Amino acid sequence: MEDFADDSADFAEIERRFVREVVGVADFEWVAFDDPSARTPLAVPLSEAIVTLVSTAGAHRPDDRPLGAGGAAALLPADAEVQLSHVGYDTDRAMEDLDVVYPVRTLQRLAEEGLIGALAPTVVSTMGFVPEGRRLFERAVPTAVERIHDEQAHLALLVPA
Amino acid sequence: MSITQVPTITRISKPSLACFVAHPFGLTLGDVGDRSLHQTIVRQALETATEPHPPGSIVPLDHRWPDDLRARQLRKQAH
Repeated sequence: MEDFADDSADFAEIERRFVREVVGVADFEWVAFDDPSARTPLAVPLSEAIVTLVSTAGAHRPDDRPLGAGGAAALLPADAEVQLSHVGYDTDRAMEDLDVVYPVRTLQRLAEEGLIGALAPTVVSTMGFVPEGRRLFERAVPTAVERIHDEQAHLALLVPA
Repeated sequence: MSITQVPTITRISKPSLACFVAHPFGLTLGDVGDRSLHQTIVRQALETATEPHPPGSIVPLDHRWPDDLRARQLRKQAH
C-alpha cells in the first residue's frame, strides 16, 4: 500500500452502487486485474520522446456525434477543434479551457521548452464513463495501440477527466 | 503513464504507473486558466515516467484543491 492520504477510498463502492442503481446497469462491476501492466523503459531520453495524449474527456469533432459510453475511440489531429461530451463532469467549465482535461497546448509548450521531443500528431480520445469496461478493450484499445505504433510514439500519457 | 484522480479504482485496474492528483473531476490539471499548474502537473507526470518505480506504482503529486468540490463529487453530491 502506498504511503499517502487517499480521500477516494470509498469511491469505488459509491460509484459501483450509482452505476447499478441510478444508471441502471444492474450487473456493473469494475474490470479488475490481478497484476499490474508491465513497465517499458523509455527507449530514448524524455527530451527526444514522442508523446501521445490519450484522453478520456469525451473529446470529439464538433460535427461528429459524441463518443457515447460504448467504448469507441476517436483519433483526433492534435490541432483539431474539439467538443467535449461526457456525462461524468461539467464539460461547460472545461470547454472554457480545454487544457484542464485535454492538455494539447500544454504538451506543445513542453515540447517547445525541450522537456519532450514532440507531441504525437494524433490524440486518442475516448469517454471515461464506459459501464461495460470490456468494450474499451474490444474497441478503443486496439485503435489506440495501432495508431501509437504507427506514429512511433515512445510514451502515452493518459489524462482522465 | 496515467494520471489518476481516484487511486481506489486505479488499484483495481492496475496500470503500469500512475500519478495521483487530488483534483475534482473535470478539472484534472487545475482550474480554468491556471496554465502554470497545468504545465507543472503534466511535467511531473512525464518526469515520473522516467523514474524506476515498480509496476503498479501510484505516485502522489502534492497538489490539493482549495475548496470542497472534489469531496462533494466523491460523495456524488456535485457534478
